[in-house]
Amino acid sequence: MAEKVSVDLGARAVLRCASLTAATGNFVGLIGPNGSGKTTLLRTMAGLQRRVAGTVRIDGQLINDMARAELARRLSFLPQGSEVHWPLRVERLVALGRIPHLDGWRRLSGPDHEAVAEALRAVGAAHLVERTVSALSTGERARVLLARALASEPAILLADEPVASLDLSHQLLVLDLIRDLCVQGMTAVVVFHDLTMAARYCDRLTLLVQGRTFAEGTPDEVLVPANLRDAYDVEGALRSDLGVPHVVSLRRIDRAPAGPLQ
Amino acid sequence: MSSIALEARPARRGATRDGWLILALVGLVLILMIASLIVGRVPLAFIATLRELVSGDETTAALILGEIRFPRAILAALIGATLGAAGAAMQGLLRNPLAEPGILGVSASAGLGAVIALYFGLSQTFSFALPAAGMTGALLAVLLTYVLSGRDASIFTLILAGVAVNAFAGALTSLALNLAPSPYAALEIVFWMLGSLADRSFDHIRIALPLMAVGGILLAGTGRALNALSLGEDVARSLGVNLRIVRARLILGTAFSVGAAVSVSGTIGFVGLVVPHLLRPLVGHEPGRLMLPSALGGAALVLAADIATRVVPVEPDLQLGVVTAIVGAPFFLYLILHIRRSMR
Repeated sequence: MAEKVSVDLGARAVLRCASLTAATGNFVGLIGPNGSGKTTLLRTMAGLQRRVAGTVRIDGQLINDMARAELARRLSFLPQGSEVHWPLRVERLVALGRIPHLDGWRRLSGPDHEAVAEALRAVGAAHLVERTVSALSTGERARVLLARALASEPAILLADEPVASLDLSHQLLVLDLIRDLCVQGMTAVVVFHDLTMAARYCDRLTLLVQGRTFAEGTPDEVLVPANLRDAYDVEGALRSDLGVPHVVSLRRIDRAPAGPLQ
Repeated sequence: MSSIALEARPARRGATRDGWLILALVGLVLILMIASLIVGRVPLAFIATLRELVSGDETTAALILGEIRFPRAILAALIGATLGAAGAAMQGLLRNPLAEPGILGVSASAGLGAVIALYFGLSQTFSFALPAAGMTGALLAVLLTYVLSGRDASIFTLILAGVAVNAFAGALTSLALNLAPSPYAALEIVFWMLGSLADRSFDHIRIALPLMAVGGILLAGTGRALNALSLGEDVARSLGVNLRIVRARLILGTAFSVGAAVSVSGTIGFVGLVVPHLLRPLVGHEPGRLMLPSALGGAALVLAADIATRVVPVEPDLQLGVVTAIVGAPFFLYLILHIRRSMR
């Protein structure tokens, strides 16, 4: 989907020829150490990043050639954090996700309300519908914001660490949901910090290091000890002795001041 | 996403809920307009005078009603509506409940334009000089804010540019006072800045209305984008909002409408700050639904304050901006304390 994307922000090159491909129905995990450019790559794919060299295509079509409204109908972007500026009611907040489908002066109608209710139920937040967003816990708010992103019934979901602030049970709920939606044909690109969850849920992983695509493939191919060492400075391995894959980190590798790629 | 049967809950519509609020506010504005026509230094038999006015009798009472009180009431409603709507627009754009219509320097610069006209005595040479200079000041301020902050400015840069323009316009206004040729001229400038609707005619409405209307049209229809902005700029853009256009519409709309308002009335503070904040809980805190109720609430507040200037028996008459500030400033304090409490 994103090909040879480079982003220069002032003196610092955040992305240097990073690439990421997500086939239809794939659940792609975007992983990498802090500052490797995951968020920038995700924003670039959402068409939000300025000063981009390279191309982003959806079904072969350049996103720069697509109308913003058309892009909004097909692609949903969920940033990190839980920025909501006004104490809106949960139902109205999730309904903001329907904006791409409201052309001109059309107001929310039956199908829109159905999509909102369905999205809230899917993230296990149907009981919050009458609440005010400022009164929610961090985890509740994260799920409600995911419901907002899903309410537009997107073909592509780009989510930046959607489970970072959730407890274990709700992490599984949200990731199960995204995987189910991918089985039904949605394409998801999700930024992960938790490599175990990434290995467990993703069809494919893209590992970014210093703005470059360092490795790309199935979790088994990407999370090999050599990559963990070179990308994360960690001695570790991908195991599956409990029936599900999990990443074990044994110890930190101290390196000379030179960067991890030297 | 496959659809699943829904729980049976009637789909509530924001429009019908706001309907009652808007109706109530329209009623309030109408009542205050009638009160504004009745109240004044010269007692009028309102119905009888209205009948004379309609039938074209040129009695003194009919002249007072038709040429003084009608334009004053209409102007109060128009200016209040402008300040209320622009306040809601700026608070929505900047996502800050402490924003007000003049935050980007529009009011101060319109005031400066008018003060320059007063200083050079242009308002004596031709009567439209004062409002024309005010509107020029407002437009120049917006241009300056835009140039200072750049096309893709962040909200933060925009506010800072507004602070700079505000400060500069304030400094030049002080300079005009400093260099005023006579104490009388200085007094004239000061009184004008206090804001008033006394002695305004239909001519003033004719001057201000076109720009106010253009500004209002620019502001209307940005509601959905303002709602989307509650989730931040990135999400708003990802929802298909063209931020550059929305920002330009809101800023230009505010400059046109508030510039025109300040040019005929002087600065009337706190209306654009207080009214949106008061009404926000009644529209579920949604910035897009706030603009119309806020316009009506602003009209009601300025009408009420203008009536108060005529009812309170002091000499010389209270100026309108003084009344709104005396009511508004304590409320502003309450607002700050309230926000601090809810932050804790």
